[in-house]
Amino acid sequence: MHFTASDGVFLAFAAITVGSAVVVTLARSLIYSAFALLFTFFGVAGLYLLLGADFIAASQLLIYVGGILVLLLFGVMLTHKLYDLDLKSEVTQFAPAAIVAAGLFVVLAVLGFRTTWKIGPGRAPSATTDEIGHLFMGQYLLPFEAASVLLLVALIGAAMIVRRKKEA
Amino acid sequence: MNAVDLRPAYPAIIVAVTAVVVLLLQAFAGKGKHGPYVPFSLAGLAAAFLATVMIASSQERGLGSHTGGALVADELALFLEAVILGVALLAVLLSSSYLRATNSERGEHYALLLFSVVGMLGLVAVTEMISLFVALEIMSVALYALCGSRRDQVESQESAVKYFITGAFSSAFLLFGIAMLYGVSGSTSLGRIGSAVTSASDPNHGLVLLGVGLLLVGFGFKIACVPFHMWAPDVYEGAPTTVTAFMAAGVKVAAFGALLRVFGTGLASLADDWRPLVAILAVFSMVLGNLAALAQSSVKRMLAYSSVSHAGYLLAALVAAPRVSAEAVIFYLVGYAAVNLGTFGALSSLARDGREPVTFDHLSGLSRRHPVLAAAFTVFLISLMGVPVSAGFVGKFYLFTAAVGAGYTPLAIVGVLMSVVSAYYYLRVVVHMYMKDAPVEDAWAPVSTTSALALAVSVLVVLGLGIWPAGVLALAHAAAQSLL
Repeated sequence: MHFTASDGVFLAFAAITVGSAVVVTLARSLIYSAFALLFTFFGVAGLYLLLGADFIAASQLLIYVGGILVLLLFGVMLTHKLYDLDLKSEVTQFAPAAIVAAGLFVVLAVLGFRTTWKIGPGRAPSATTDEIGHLFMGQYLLPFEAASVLLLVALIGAAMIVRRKKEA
Repeated sequence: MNAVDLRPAYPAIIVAVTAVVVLLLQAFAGKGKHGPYVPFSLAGLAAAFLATVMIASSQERGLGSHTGGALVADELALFLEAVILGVALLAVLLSSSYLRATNSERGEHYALLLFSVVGMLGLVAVTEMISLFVALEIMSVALYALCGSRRDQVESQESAVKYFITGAFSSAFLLFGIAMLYGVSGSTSLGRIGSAVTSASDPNHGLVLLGVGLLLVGFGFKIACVPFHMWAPDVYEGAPTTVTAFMAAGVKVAAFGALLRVFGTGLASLADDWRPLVAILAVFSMVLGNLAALAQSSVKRMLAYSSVSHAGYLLAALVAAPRVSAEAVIFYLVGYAAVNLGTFGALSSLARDGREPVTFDHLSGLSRRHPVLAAAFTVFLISLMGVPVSAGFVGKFYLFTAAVGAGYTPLAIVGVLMSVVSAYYYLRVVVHMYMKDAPVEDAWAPVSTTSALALAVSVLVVLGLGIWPAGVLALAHAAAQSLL
């Protein structure tokens, strides 16, 4: 087995993703977690790019890093209670959690190597947006349109929950 | 470009448009006033019901290939869609007086309820995994918000947060499972997934099993079977009671409809692998659900645990061959939906000034103040127990017959034994209503006309199915036959 340049890049991105994800979970301050999440999202975007999924990688950066994460950071920084919050990250139920996690890791790893994955043609299409656009407007038209209903529901629900109760 | 035939989606589209209209009614109602939400919601749901019936009776129904194959309009989908729309109609009727009594009437409430119906309608008709996920999320997200719609109650907020977190968690399992199955089959369509792996000697068998297991966990959360039931008591108790009624009836119908389709068609070839898992879930749900219900002092919590145990009874039938189990499950779901609307609806119809009956003691002496309501409540409880002349008896009979026919006799025995146990806590409610003295002051409201109408329909369905089950059984049979 040759160790190619792309393997090295993959390992680098994977290390960034996993390493920062560990920080996200273990950090005692919410703001550290949020910043570490930045690198997790970045690493995942890198992995997408490596797989030839340029559109998804760009969306990942735009939506998660540019949108959700910035919102999260503003939310944390503008809220005193959250900013100063000392997160409890004490370990409870260590043994069962470790057993389940290790077991799941072994199962996934073994299956990952044993499975003959359904792999498409060797190269990703040069312009993935073309393909995605056709799928959205053809085969997946209905779930694509239904997703907009989902977003509308989420908006209405959020508005209803945060609205101040009228003085009766 | 092929023209897309949207006919299978008509009922869902009608309901979605109604939801938007109801939302706009609120905007135009003026400050501090309420628009005519209830009539519009009822009209929209009735129109969708009519559309469903018309699609069912039309000759060219357009099976399969339409809407990109994402939705079908087969007998299973149409029948369950009609049931869901019926549930929604009754839930809107119950909501109208409950929301006024709890001072939380708002257009958004009805709009979200209708949107949730859109998700449910999709869920029973999808044949493709991405659509399944989107439909499930539409249903769930609307319900999360509805659970938290009582701003004045901290329990309501707690129930929304709990439901949201466990719901998001279970969606992750479901997605992971879908990804695994996609990795094997290269497709999200149930038919392709089913044909990708057929034999146990296939090298990909392990991955498929993992995918099936994860799917089962995801669905397990939605139907609240043990050990994925932890959220149910808190959510059922904290949510506004009419939302609980709608949730307990509608989500069960929609989720079991999707479960039937996914496991009955797509994963039918792997039945030998998932049957033992389903049987284990069924036993745990039946035993733990019933035992936990014994210890409750809140009626809503007791009913929540009872719904866990009923998920177990339903799962017990799922071990049978797809068509046999589908027939039993579909028939049971109809009666069970009516019963759930009835029990929670009866509690909600007594609400006054933001208060409603919660504990067993609150129901003491109900038979003297509200003799008709107490009688209706008794009918629902009798059906939950599975006593003859009620929908519950006929339904349980078919569920357990299906389990026995598949060679899982112990499941049926556990089910019957646990039904006997359940009589204790169901009858406790009856004892309180008929044999305990009422508190001096009458705290509960008289039942409104709309609530009474909804409860009367529920009683008629429960008794009708118990006395004359043939009509619905024939429909359930046709629906089951439409499974591939």
